[in-house]
Amino acid sequence: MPTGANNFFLMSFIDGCVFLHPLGSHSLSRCVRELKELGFTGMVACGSSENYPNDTGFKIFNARYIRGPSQREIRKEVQIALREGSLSLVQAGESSVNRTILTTPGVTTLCDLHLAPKNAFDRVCALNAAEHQVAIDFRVTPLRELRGTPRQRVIRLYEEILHLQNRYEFPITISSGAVFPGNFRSPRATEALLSEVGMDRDLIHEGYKAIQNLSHKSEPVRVV
Amino acid sequence: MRLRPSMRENYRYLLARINPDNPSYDAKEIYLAVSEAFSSLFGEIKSAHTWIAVMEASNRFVIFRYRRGMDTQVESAIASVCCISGVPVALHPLKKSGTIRTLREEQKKLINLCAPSHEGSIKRGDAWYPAVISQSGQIDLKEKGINLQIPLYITEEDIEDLYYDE
Repeated sequence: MPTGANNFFLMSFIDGCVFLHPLGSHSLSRCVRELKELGFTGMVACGSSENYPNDTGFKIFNARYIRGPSQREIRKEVQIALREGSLSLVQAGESSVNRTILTTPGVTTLCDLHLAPKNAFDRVCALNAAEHQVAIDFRVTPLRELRGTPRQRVIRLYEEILHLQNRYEFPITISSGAVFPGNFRSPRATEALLSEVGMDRDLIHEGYKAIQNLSHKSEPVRVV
Repeated sequence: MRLRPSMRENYRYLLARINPDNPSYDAKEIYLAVSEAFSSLFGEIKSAHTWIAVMEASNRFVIFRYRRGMDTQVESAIASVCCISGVPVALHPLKKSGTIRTLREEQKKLINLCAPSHEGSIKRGDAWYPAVISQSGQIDLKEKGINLQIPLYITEEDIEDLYYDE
């Protein structure tokens, strides 16, 4: 059984959300190269459905970033994602919207909670997320880019989510939400930043590999 | 105030890489960016207690010095740097050591691995675009005057042809 430093090399570090062209300004191959250099083993790619030769062991999960004006639109987009066999990342909204999103079959991740209104993620949402195994995404971008009171608000929000996670144990993911190569940070730097926010190191490692389990869950039912 | 060696503070050193690598930054600019990031994240008192300083800044690498025991805080502050004097950059912490000499040796090894980048132009579709091409295969298109329907950050696999400027 490998222990200590050896264990680190066996860990999987998957970036929970990267925006490719046209949502971002980098190509798939550039993203793969940058992330590999930083020590990642996979990524969730939003915005492109092009295939990348998977001979190097770097895992790419295609995903659809959904931000619908209405719940009907969201459901429609999730169905399309299911048909494509890709993950569906839904942007969080108000508390009632989040409850519906979390109970919609096929939703993989609820993301961008820092953009949602105050008290958008409550105890009921946490319970729904745990029951339906929908991951809650921790985006590193606001911690890095914001300064002053807005960042304090995000730190407080993440603390609240962590408090609920500790109780209800819903899955979490960690994402950079990168739109250009300057947005990427190494797993080590991200770990340092998130541990300062109050996240446990084991939980951070769990968050990095949670996508693998969620991707199996989102596969459509097939007749055999 | 001069102190006896046994009374001096123990320091730690950290080697970080600047990405993107094209412009060369002044040590003072890097210090101001990291210091601002640290004080906004941890406050003035911890910032003063950490004694963060830039020892060297050259060839895309920076060596920081700080008080021993503040490793995680310094790493997280470095990770939260978004721009240096208005230019968006990322600082990636690479290695920590108790002596600056070890980091200089590591830096030499890494400089040998990282080839310098050149100005040039690349062909994509029917058009040629000015770009900065690194020898590791990464290409950054210059934003000015190009059609934004194509990604700006690509690799050699995404293009049809390239040409280096003399």
